[in-house]
Amino acid sequence: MEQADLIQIERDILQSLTDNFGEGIIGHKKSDGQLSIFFSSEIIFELAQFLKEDAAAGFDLLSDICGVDWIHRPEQRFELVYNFYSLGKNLRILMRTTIPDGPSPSILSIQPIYPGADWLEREVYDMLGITFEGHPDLRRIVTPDEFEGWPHRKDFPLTYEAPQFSFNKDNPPEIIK
Amino acid sequence: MGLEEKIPDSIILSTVDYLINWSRKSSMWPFGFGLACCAIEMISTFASHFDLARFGMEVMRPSPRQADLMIVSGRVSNKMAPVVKRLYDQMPNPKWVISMGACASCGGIFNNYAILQGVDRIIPVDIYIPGCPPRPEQLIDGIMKLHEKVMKESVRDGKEKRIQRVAGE
Repeated sequence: MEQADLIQIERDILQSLTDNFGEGIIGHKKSDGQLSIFFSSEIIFELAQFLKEDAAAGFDLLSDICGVDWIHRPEQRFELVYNFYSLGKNLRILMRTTIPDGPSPSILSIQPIYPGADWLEREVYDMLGITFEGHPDLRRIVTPDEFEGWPHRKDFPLTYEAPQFSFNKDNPPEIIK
Repeated sequence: MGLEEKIPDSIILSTVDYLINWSRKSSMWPFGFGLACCAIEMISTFASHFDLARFGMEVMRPSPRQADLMIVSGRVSNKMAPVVKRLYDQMPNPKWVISMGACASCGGIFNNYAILQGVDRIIPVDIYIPGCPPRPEQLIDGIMKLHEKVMKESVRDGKEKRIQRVAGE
Protein backbone atom coordinates (compact mmCIF):
# COMPACT_ATOMS: atom_id res chain seq x y z
CA MET A 1 0.00 0.00 0.00
CA GLU A 2 1.88 3.06 -1.13
CA GLN A 3 1.52 6.01 1.17
CA ALA A 4 3.29 8.73 -0.64
CA ASP A 5 0.62 11.37 -0.52
CA LEU A 6 -0.79 10.80 2.97
CA ILE A 7 -0.13 13.33 5.66
CA GLN A 8 1.42 12.18 8.90
CA ILE A 9 -1.73 11.93 10.93
CA GLU A 10 -3.44 9.87 8.25
CA ARG A 11 -0.48 7.54 8.21
CA ASP A 12 -0.72 7.13 11.95
CA ILE A 13 -4.38 6.32 11.79
CA LEU A 14 -3.91 3.87 8.96
CA GLN A 15 -1.11 2.23 10.87
CA SER A 16 -3.14 1.84 14.04
CA LEU A 17 -6.06 0.45 12.06
CA THR A 18 -3.96 -2.18 10.37
CA ASP A 19 -2.34 -3.04 13.69
CA ASN A 20 -5.69 -3.62 15.32
CA PHE A 21 -7.62 -5.21 12.50
CA GLY A 22 -5.08 -6.72 10.19
CA GLU A 23 -7.00 -8.66 7.62
CA GLY A 24 -10.09 -6.52 7.88
CA ILE A 25 -8.48 -3.49 6.29
CA ILE A 26 -8.29 -4.21 2.59
CA GLY A 27 -6.74 -1.09 1.18
CA HIS A 28 -6.81 2.64 1.02
CA LYS A 29 -6.98 5.36 -1.57
CA LYS A 30 -6.44 9.08 -1.47
CA SER A 31 -8.16 11.17 -4.08
CA ASP A 32 -8.79 14.91 -4.16
CA GLY A 33 -7.25 15.27 -0.74
CA GLN A 34 -9.66 12.80 0.86
CA LEU A 35 -8.56 9.48 2.31
CA SER A 36 -10.79 6.42 1.84
CA ILE A 37 -10.09 3.18 3.64
CA PHE A 38 -11.60 -0.07 2.38
CA PHE A 39 -12.54 -2.70 4.91
CA SER A 40 -14.56 -5.87 5.01
CA SER A 41 -18.07 -5.65 6.32
CA GLU A 42 -17.75 -8.13 9.20
CA ILE A 43 -15.60 -5.86 11.34
CA ILE A 44 -17.83 -2.81 11.19
CA PHE A 45 -18.93 -2.92 14.81
CA GLU A 46 -15.47 -3.25 16.31
CA LEU A 47 -14.16 -0.71 13.85
CA ALA A 48 -16.76 1.83 14.90
CA GLN A 49 -15.93 1.22 18.55
CA PHE A 50 -12.26 1.66 17.87
CA LEU A 51 -12.75 4.84 15.91
CA LYS A 52 -14.86 6.40 18.60
CA GLU A 53 -13.03 5.41 21.73
CA ASP A 54 -9.41 5.25 20.78
CA ALA A 55 -7.66 8.46 21.75
CA ALA A 56 -5.35 8.44 18.76
CA ALA A 57 -8.21 8.13 16.29
CA GLY A 58 -10.87 10.11 18.09
CA PHE A 59 -13.54 10.24 15.38
CA ASP A 60 -16.49 11.41 17.38
CA LEU A 61 -18.79 12.62 14.61
CA LEU A 62 -20.48 10.38 12.06
CA SER A 63 -21.41 12.77 9.30
CA ASP A 64 -23.05 10.52 6.80
CA ILE A 65 -23.66 6.98 5.66
CA CYS A 66 -24.00 6.76 1.88
CA GLY A 67 -24.88 3.78 -0.21
CA VAL A 68 -23.78 3.12 -3.78
CA ASP A 69 -25.27 0.53 -6.09
CA TRP A 70 -22.73 -1.04 -8.43
CA ILE A 71 -25.08 -3.17 -10.43
CA HIS A 72 -22.51 -4.55 -12.81
CA ARG A 73 -20.62 -6.46 -10.08
CA PRO A 74 -23.12 -8.56 -8.12
CA GLU A 75 -20.61 -10.05 -5.70
CA GLN A 76 -19.82 -6.59 -4.35
CA ARG A 77 -22.97 -4.83 -5.32
CA PHE A 78 -23.66 -2.37 -2.54
CA GLU A 79 -20.93 -0.11 -1.28
CA LEU A 80 -21.45 1.70 1.99
CA VAL A 81 -19.43 4.81 2.71
CA TYR A 82 -19.19 5.84 6.35
CA ASN A 83 -18.13 9.44 6.67
CA PHE A 84 -16.33 9.96 9.98
CA TYR A 85 -15.06 13.32 11.15
CA SER A 86 -12.78 14.13 14.05
CA LEU A 87 -13.55 17.46 15.64
CA GLY A 88 -10.31 17.67 17.58
CA LYS A 89 -8.04 16.96 14.65
CA ASN A 90 -10.17 18.44 11.84
CA LEU A 91 -9.80 15.24 9.91
CA ARG A 92 -12.38 13.53 7.74
CA ILE A 93 -12.07 9.91 6.76
CA LEU A 94 -14.21 7.75 4.51
CA MET A 95 -14.56 4.12 5.47
CA ARG A 96 -15.86 2.06 2.58
CA THR A 97 -17.18 -1.47 2.62
CA THR A 98 -19.02 -3.65 0.15
CA ILE A 99 -22.00 -5.93 0.62
CA PRO A 100 -22.77 -8.67 -1.90
CA ASP A 101 -26.06 -8.90 -3.73
CA GLY A 102 -28.74 -11.24 -2.49
CA PRO A 103 -32.36 -11.48 -1.40
CA SER A 104 -31.66 -9.43 1.71
CA PRO A 105 -28.28 -7.76 1.97
CA SER A 106 -27.43 -6.84 5.51
CA ILE A 107 -24.76 -5.45 7.78
CA LEU A 108 -24.50 -4.77 11.49
CA SER A 109 -25.85 -1.49 12.70
CA ILE A 110 -23.53 0.92 14.49
CA GLN A 111 -26.36 2.76 16.17
CA PRO A 112 -25.35 1.64 19.71
CA ILE A 113 -22.00 3.35 19.27
CA TYR A 114 -22.93 6.36 17.17
CA PRO A 115 -26.54 7.31 17.99
CA GLY A 116 -26.62 9.55 14.95
CA ALA A 117 -26.52 6.49 12.74
CA ASP A 118 -30.19 5.91 13.52
CA TRP A 119 -31.72 7.99 10.75
CA LEU A 120 -28.74 7.63 8.44
CA GLU A 121 -29.17 3.88 8.38
CA ARG A 122 -32.91 4.23 7.99
CA GLU A 123 -32.32 6.30 4.89
CA VAL A 124 -29.96 3.72 3.40
CA TYR A 125 -32.51 1.03 4.20
CA ASP A 126 -35.26 3.03 2.56
CA MET A 127 -33.35 3.83 -0.58
CA LEU A 128 -31.31 0.67 -1.18
CA GLY A 129 -32.93 -2.05 0.87
CA ILE A 130 -29.90 -2.91 3.02
CA THR A 131 -30.98 -4.31 6.39
CA PHE A 132 -29.09 -3.15 9.45
CA GLU A 133 -29.13 -5.84 12.12
CA GLY A 134 -29.53 -4.57 15.63
CA HIS A 135 -31.12 -1.33 14.59
CA PRO A 136 -33.82 -0.34 17.11
CA ASP A 137 -36.41 0.94 14.65
CA LEU A 138 -35.68 0.10 11.03
CA ARG A 139 -38.44 1.45 8.81
CA ARG A 140 -38.89 3.77 5.89
CA ILE A 141 -38.07 7.39 6.43
CA VAL A 142 -38.52 9.45 3.26
CA THR A 143 -40.85 7.42 1.08
CA PRO A 144 -44.43 6.68 2.15
CA ASP A 145 -44.88 3.71 4.46
CA GLU A 146 -46.73 1.64 1.89
CA PHE A 147 -44.09 2.17 -0.77
CA GLU A 148 -42.77 -0.98 -2.41
CA GLY A 149 -39.33 -1.17 -3.86
CA TRP A 150 -36.00 0.43 -3.22
CA PRO A 151 -35.86 3.63 -5.23
CA HIS A 152 -32.12 4.27 -5.45
CA ARG A 153 -31.26 0.88 -6.82
CA LYS A 154 -30.23 0.97 -10.43
CA ASP A 155 -32.93 -1.47 -11.50
CA PHE A 156 -35.75 0.68 -10.14
CA PRO A 157 -37.52 2.53 -12.99
CA LEU A 158 -36.32 6.09 -13.32
CA THR A 159 -39.43 7.92 -14.38
CA TYR A 160 -42.99 7.78 -13.19
CA GLU A 161 -44.81 8.09 -16.44
CA ALA A 162 -44.08 9.38 -19.88
CA PRO A 163 -44.78 13.12 -20.11
CA GLN A 164 -47.30 13.71 -22.85
CA PHE A 165 -47.15 16.71 -25.10
CA SER A 166 -49.14 17.48 -28.18
CA PHE A 167 -46.37 16.53 -30.55
CA ASN A 168 -45.92 13.05 -29.15
CA LYS A 169 -49.49 12.36 -28.23
CA ASP A 170 -49.77 9.42 -30.59
CA ASN A 171 -46.51 7.71 -29.69
CA PRO A 172 -45.54 8.59 -26.14
CA PRO A 173 -42.00 7.78 -25.01
CA GLU A 174 -41.32 4.72 -22.93
CA ILE A 175 -40.77 4.77 -19.21
CA ILE A 176 -37.04 5.05 -18.63
CA LYS A 177 -35.95 1.99 -16.68
CA MET B 1 -75.71 27.87 0.70
CA GLY B 2 -78.42 25.51 1.77
CA LEU B 3 -80.99 27.14 -0.47
CA GLU B 4 -79.48 25.52 -3.53
CA GLU B 5 -81.02 22.18 -2.78
CA LYS B 6 -84.42 23.68 -2.24
CA ILE B 7 -84.81 25.58 -5.51
CA PRO B 8 -86.95 23.69 -8.03
CA ASP B 9 -85.64 23.53 -11.57
CA SER B 10 -88.40 25.55 -13.15
CA ILE B 11 -87.42 28.90 -11.65
CA ILE B 12 -85.10 31.24 -13.58
CA LEU B 13 -82.86 33.23 -11.35
CA SER B 14 -80.87 35.99 -12.96
CA THR B 15 -80.42 38.77 -10.48
CA VAL B 16 -80.13 36.36 -7.60
CA ASP B 17 -77.47 34.46 -9.52
CA TYR B 18 -75.63 37.64 -10.21
CA LEU B 19 -75.75 38.78 -6.62
CA ILE B 20 -74.70 35.45 -5.19
CA ASN B 21 -71.85 35.04 -7.65
CA TRP B 22 -70.69 38.59 -7.13
CA SER B 23 -70.64 38.19 -3.40
CA ARG B 24 -68.79 34.90 -3.66
CA LYS B 25 -66.11 36.20 -5.93
CA SER B 26 -65.64 39.45 -4.09
CA SER B 27 -64.76 37.88 -0.80
CA MET B 28 -63.18 34.58 -1.63
CA TRP B 29 -60.96 33.60 1.25
CA PRO B 30 -57.94 31.70 0.16
CA PHE B 31 -56.50 28.69 1.90
CA GLY B 32 -52.99 29.10 0.69
CA PHE B 33 -51.59 25.63 0.63
CA GLY B 34 -48.00 26.60 0.18
CA LEU B 35 -45.90 23.53 -0.25
CA ALA B 36 -42.70 24.52 -2.00
CA CYS B 37 -41.12 27.31 -4.03
CA CYS B 38 -44.39 28.50 -5.53
CA ALA B 39 -45.43 29.38 -2.02
CA ILE B 40 -42.89 32.20 -2.03
CA GLU B 41 -44.51 33.73 -5.06
CA MET B 42 -47.91 33.27 -3.47
CA ILE B 43 -46.73 34.99 -0.32
CA SER B 44 -45.35 37.87 -2.31
CA THR B 45 -48.68 38.14 -4.08
CA PHE B 46 -50.34 38.57 -0.72
CA ALA B 47 -47.78 41.13 0.34
CA SER B 48 -48.04 44.82 -0.27
CA HIS B 49 -46.50 45.17 -3.74
CA PHE B 50 -48.90 42.89 -5.59
CA ASP B 51 -51.74 43.19 -3.21
CA LEU B 52 -54.34 40.45 -3.30
CA ALA B 53 -56.43 42.06 -0.60
CA ARG B 54 -57.74 44.53 -3.15
CA PHE B 55 -59.56 41.61 -4.78
CA GLY B 56 -61.31 40.70 -1.59
CA MET B 57 -58.85 38.06 -0.46
CA GLU B 58 -58.09 39.99 2.62
CA VAL B 59 -58.07 37.09 4.97
CA MET B 60 -55.89 34.07 4.32
CA ARG B 61 -57.29 31.48 6.61
CA PRO B 62 -54.95 28.69 7.63
CA SER B 63 -57.86 26.50 8.55
CA PRO B 64 -59.64 24.67 5.74
CA ARG B 65 -62.99 24.97 7.46
CA GLN B 66 -63.01 28.71 6.93
CA ALA B 67 -61.60 28.91 3.42
CA ASP B 68 -63.13 28.99 -0.04
CA LEU B 69 -60.23 28.84 -2.43
CA MET B 70 -57.40 26.34 -2.15
CA ILE B 71 -54.26 27.43 -3.95
CA VAL B 72 -52.06 24.37 -4.27
CA SER B 73 -48.69 25.95 -4.77
CA GLY B 74 -45.74 23.66 -5.06
CA ARG B 75 -44.95 20.05 -5.69
CA VAL B 76 -47.15 17.46 -4.04
CA SER B 77 -45.22 14.39 -3.02
CA ASN B 78 -46.79 10.97 -2.76
CA LYS B 79 -46.43 11.11 0.98
CA MET B 80 -48.28 14.43 1.17
CA ALA B 81 -51.09 13.47 -1.20
CA PRO B 82 -53.46 11.95 1.43
CA VAL B 83 -53.05 15.10 3.49
CA VAL B 84 -54.02 17.31 0.55
CA LYS B 85 -57.07 15.17 -0.11
CA ARG B 86 -58.13 15.28 3.50
CA LEU B 87 -57.79 19.06 3.68
CA TYR B 88 -59.76 19.43 0.47
CA ASP B 89 -62.53 17.29 1.90
CA GLN B 90 -62.62 19.41 5.02
CA MET B 91 -63.35 22.57 3.07
CA PRO B 92 -67.03 23.44 3.01
CA ASN B 93 -68.88 24.11 -0.24
CA PRO B 94 -68.59 26.26 -2.34
CA LYS B 95 -64.91 25.70 -2.92
CA TRP B 96 -62.53 26.19 -5.79
CA VAL B 97 -59.01 24.95 -6.42
CA ILE B 98 -56.21 26.70 -8.22
CA SER B 99 -53.23 24.59 -9.15
CA MET B 100 -50.31 27.00 -9.17
CA GLY B 101 -47.11 26.20 -10.92
CA ALA B 102 -45.90 23.40 -13.08
CA CYS B 103 -45.40 20.86 -10.32
CA ALA B 104 -48.94 21.10 -9.02
CA SER B 105 -50.39 21.00 -12.52
CA CYS B 106 -48.49 18.12 -14.03
CA GLY B 107 -45.57 17.10 -11.88
CA GLY B 108 -43.28 19.73 -13.37
CA ILE B 109 -39.71 18.67 -13.94
CA PHE B 110 -40.00 15.90 -11.36
CA ASN B 111 -40.91 12.74 -13.20
CA ASN B 112 -39.95 10.23 -10.52
CA TYR B 113 -41.10 7.95 -7.77
CA ALA B 114 -41.67 10.60 -5.17
CA ILE B 115 -43.72 13.38 -6.76
CA LEU B 116 -47.40 13.12 -7.63
CA GLN B 117 -47.75 13.94 -11.30
CA GLY B 118 -50.28 16.69 -10.96
CA VAL B 119 -52.60 17.44 -8.08
CA ASP B 120 -55.59 16.87 -10.33
CA ARG B 121 -55.06 13.16 -9.82
CA ILE B 122 -56.56 13.52 -6.38
CA ILE B 123 -58.70 16.67 -6.31
CA PRO B 124 -60.69 18.48 -9.01
CA VAL B 125 -58.97 21.64 -10.19
CA ASP B 126 -60.60 24.76 -11.63
CA ILE B 127 -57.68 26.85 -12.87
CA TYR B 128 -54.19 25.72 -13.83
CA ILE B 129 -51.46 28.32 -13.73
CA PRO B 130 -48.25 27.34 -15.52
CA GLY B 131 -44.89 28.67 -14.56
CA CYS B 132 -41.93 27.77 -12.45
CA PRO B 133 -42.77 29.72 -10.41
CA PRO B 134 -45.49 31.86 -11.93
CA ARG B 135 -44.96 35.52 -11.33
CA PRO B 136 -47.42 37.25 -9.01
CA GLU B 137 -49.00 38.89 -12.03
CA GLN B 138 -49.70 35.46 -13.47
CA LEU B 139 -51.25 34.30 -10.24
CA ILE B 140 -53.45 37.38 -10.21
CA ASP B 141 -54.40 36.69 -13.82
CA GLY B 142 -55.40 33.17 -12.88
CA ILE B 143 -57.47 34.47 -10.01
CA MET B 144 -59.17 36.91 -12.36
CA LYS B 145 -60.08 34.04 -14.65
CA LEU B 146 -61.45 32.19 -11.68
CA HIS B 147 -63.58 35.21 -10.85
CA GLU B 148 -64.94 35.19 -14.39
CA LYS B 149 -65.69 31.50 -14.03
CA VAL B 150 -67.49 32.11 -10.77
CA MET B 151 -69.58 34.86 -12.32
CA LYS B 152 -70.82 32.43 -14.95
CA GLU B 153 -72.07 29.93 -12.40
CA SER B 154 -75.69 29.62 -11.49
CA VAL B 155 -77.30 28.82 -8.22
CA ARG B 156 -79.81 26.61 -9.98
CA ASP B 157 -77.41 24.17 -11.53
CA GLY B 158 -74.98 24.74 -8.78
CA LYS B 159 -76.50 21.82 -6.94
CA GLU B 160 -75.37 19.15 -9.36
CA LYS B 161 -72.07 20.83 -9.96
CA ARG B 162 -71.28 21.00 -6.26
CA ILE B 163 -72.20 17.38 -5.76
CA GLN B 164 -70.18 16.39 -8.78
CA ARG B 165 -67.30 18.31 -7.45
CA VAL B 166 -67.43 16.63 -4.07
CA ALA B 167 -67.74 13.21 -5.67
CA GLY B 168 -64.43 13.82 -7.38
CA GLU B 169 -65.65 14.20 -10.92
